[in-house]
Amino acid sequence: MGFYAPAQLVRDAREHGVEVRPIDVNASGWDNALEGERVLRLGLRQIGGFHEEWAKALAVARGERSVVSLEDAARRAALPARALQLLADADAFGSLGQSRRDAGWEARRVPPVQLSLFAAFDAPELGVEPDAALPPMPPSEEVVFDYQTQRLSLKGHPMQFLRADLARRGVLDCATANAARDGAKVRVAGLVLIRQRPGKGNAVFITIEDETGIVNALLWARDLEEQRRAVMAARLMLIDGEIQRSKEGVIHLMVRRVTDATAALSRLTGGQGTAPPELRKHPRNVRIIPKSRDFH
Amino acid sequence: MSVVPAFAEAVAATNFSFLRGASHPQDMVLRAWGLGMTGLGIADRNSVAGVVRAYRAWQDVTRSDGRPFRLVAGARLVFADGTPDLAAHPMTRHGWGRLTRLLTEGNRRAAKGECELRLPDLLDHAEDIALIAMDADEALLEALRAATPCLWLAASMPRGGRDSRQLVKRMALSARTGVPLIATNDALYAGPEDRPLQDVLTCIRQGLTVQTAGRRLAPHAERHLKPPAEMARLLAACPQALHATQDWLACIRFTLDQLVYHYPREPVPDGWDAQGWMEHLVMQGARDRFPDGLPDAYRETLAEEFRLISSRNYACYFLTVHDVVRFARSLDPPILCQGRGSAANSLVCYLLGITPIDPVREKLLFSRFLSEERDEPPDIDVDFEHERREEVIQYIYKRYGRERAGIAATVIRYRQRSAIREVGKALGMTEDVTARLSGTIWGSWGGGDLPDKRMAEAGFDPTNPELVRLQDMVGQLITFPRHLSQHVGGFVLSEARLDEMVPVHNAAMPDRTFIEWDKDDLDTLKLLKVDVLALGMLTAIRKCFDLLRDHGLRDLTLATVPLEDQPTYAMLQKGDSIGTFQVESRAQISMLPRMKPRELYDLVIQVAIVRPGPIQGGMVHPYLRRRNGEEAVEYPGPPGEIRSVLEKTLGVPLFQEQAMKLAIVAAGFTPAEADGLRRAMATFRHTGTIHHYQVRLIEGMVARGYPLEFAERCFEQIKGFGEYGFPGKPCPGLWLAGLCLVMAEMPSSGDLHLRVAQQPADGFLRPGAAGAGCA
Repeated sequence: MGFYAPAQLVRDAREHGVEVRPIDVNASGWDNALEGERVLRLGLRQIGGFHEEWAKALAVARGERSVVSLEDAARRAALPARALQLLADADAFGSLGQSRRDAGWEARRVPPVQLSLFAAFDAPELGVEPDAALPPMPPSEEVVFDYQTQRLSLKGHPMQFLRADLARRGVLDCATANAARDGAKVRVAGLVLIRQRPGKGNAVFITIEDETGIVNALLWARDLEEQRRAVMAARLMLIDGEIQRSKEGVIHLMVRRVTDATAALSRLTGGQGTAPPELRKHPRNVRIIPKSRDFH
Repeated sequence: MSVVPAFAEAVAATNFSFLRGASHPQDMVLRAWGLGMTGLGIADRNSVAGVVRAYRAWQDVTRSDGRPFRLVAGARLVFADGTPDLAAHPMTRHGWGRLTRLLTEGNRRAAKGECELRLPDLLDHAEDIALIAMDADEALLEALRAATPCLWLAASMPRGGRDSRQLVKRMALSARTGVPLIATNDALYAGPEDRPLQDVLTCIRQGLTVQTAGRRLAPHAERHLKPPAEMARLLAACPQALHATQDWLACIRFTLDQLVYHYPREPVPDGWDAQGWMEHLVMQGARDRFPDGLPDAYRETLAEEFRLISSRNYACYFLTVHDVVRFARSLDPPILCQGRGSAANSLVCYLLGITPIDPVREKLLFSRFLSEERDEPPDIDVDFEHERREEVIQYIYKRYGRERAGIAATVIRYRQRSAIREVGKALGMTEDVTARLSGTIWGSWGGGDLPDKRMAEAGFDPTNPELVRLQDMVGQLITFPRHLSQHVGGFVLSEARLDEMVPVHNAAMPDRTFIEWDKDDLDTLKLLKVDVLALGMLTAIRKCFDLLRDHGLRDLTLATVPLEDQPTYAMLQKGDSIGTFQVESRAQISMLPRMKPRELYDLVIQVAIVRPGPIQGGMVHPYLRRRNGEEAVEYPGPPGEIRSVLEKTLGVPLFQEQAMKLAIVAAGFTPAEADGLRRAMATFRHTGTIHHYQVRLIEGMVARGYPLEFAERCFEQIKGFGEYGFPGKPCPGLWLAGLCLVMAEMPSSGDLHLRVAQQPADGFLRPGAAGAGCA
């Protein structure tokens, strides 16, 4: 159900003036919830692989008093190591002042079973560790991790980190392309949100997105054959085409050429970071950005 | 040339003997008929899943030709305890029940897809079943004969090199035990040309490649349906075995049309009959909806519906659906639900609270749902909140019992990707090759074969003999059934035991069981099903209502959502509809500013016209032009005649419903003919029967004073409908759901945040909730 991925729905919400708050171990329930007139809190269900029971246990524990540390969460909500790691990878310990990396580090330290002596005194088992002085995660990597764990990011859009390079190559952003005059020849790039080839398949609709908005592109089927691989495989797509504006104000980009620029995405993680180990996939198969939704 | 001997192949497998049979049931039937056999016995491995398809094909061939040709439904029993295979064909309705019970027992004690049978099970259930022992010793034959008097021993010439010796042995065994021989070729496919595919299937089944399979493949292409003359020649030493096929046919009196079935009586209280109780409930609903008394138009419609339902004895069906809906609403908190589909045409459904639309006000045709002329069971689909549908499903199991309630099957078929992968593997190609080949397929794009060009693009030489073979095999394997799975929510409920009608299987999901026949099979046999569907949007709506209530903003229900909220339409007119059910797709969004919807019906029309059908028919633009005042709204022909039909859509036929009414009003069709037209539209792509109606419609309209050009345009439009699935009628039901959201999103105060709250609730379900309610 639903035509759009969470990232687009959240973008739409924010464009309508809604404040969207991140997943947090001290604030999020299972479902997404309202925290005020125009304030939405993302729920733990957004974290891929998270279980509803964990969310419920966490809510109960929070009902007594706020969670103060990973170990505290692990003990009082009886969360397994996997739940802690998912929370850490989803950057859900912001209210404890812990960054994703710090939390990820600590999640691996929390002992799986509490020793009875500590339990008897209700005391934390983990001593203070000397600061490992991990380098802070670059913003582009934060965004990619967000997408990988919850299919959206409130911190930014993956495309913004490629912008300078794209601009140098004369690639417009979506907002600029949409503002171009009727008939303008443009080159834009964006993440592929949707590919659709309805009905008899005379045309392929492609929607791409960047940090400024979306562009609706249309490719005639007769032009599809020669660029089929690029059209089908690209996660990051570079499109050359012509802007067409109808009198009702509907804007389409009529596609002339599609280029698969997916490789650029791997630069976002600086070539060093990969997916969180929890995704347990072969590194080759890790997706930098979740798949588009294709309809036919 | 001597007279062709009478012969019927008693043991024919179809491709529902998964990965063994290499022909579709219909192909087996056609071939057997074409060869001049007097009958065909279907016998798939521990299953009767293919018999209804065979039955359909049999109906088709025998309808056009009076030559006697019988179809015998049965199964091949394959045992887990080493007993040789037996073909089992029920002789009577009772025997059929014994067979399906037997298979059910075997299925229920095994994992999904398996059937675990042992000889004593059969001996317990053999009553009224004709058995053919494919291989046997004296002891087995004695044991079987004690269980059923109708027993044969297979006589075949399988070209194994020892045929004659084996036949002599069988003849001796037959003489000793008195069990007659019956001629059979134990067919696995229709013609010898199917053998390569059968080899590939064997390899897929056993995880082999054709290069390494060696003797595990059949040594020859002889396991096909053979002409009677050829069978006679092969078994010249034993002519009585051929005659026996006629004896075998003669003792089988069971045919699938004997499977009559009754709806459960549970919902009817003691002291009432079903029809009376249904009418009572409907009148109760009428009093709630129309406290000032039922208007005359409704009274007439209702009387007509009652009469039809009573004449067809469908009251129990309505009551069963009503019961399920009532249960869902009685929970705390209640589960949102509403009927959809053609049930929306029924006033009875509306007054029973199953559907939310008033069909009289919306001028819907009841005959779309149920008609005198059309001998088809009604079909009521009900949507439930997807996260809570399991509660409804378990209620149904509990209320009727697993012997009497089961989910219909869905036949999972080979698609291009899976076919390429598996055939490629069987042909010895490596995974990187098959992955690259199947990677060029995008959904059903292009359909059919893998074009050479695409192969070349992927870096393969399309003339390579291996790839040519792959293409050929993939083309044959596509649409082959692969395994059975459960339908998304179609329940078959029955007064008598369901497992005496059709075998029941364990599903992969815990606490689910399903029957062996799919939707088409049920239609063929006229078994009724209730669709208990999961609609995520209802969950989203419920969550949205909850949020509104919890935050003290509004207290809404499906029934009290305001449908005239102008800020909502203002928002939609701008094309600002992301996350709004039904109008959020690309095409819908770009239509909104052109359409400028002002009321619910505008949205109903928009959803209907933004799809290929009407575009094909060239009718959308006239509608938009007329709507924007660029073209005059006119109603050709006799004044006032078609105005009533087409007024709501400004004189442009947009709905199938209208096409049918148009045919009645303007071309003088009878309702039955109009329904024929509808069916022709629905199957246009396959059959092309719509052209029978072309002359009739156009001449009818011209004769009644319509311009030829207009009549032709109407027909083109109707034909355009047929090219695609298209809206049968306006479906305000779903719209109501959609609009609830919009309204909830945009209360007059304009606080849009609710829309957002709703969106994550639904759009976001996927990551976490997959598996829970979506299956």
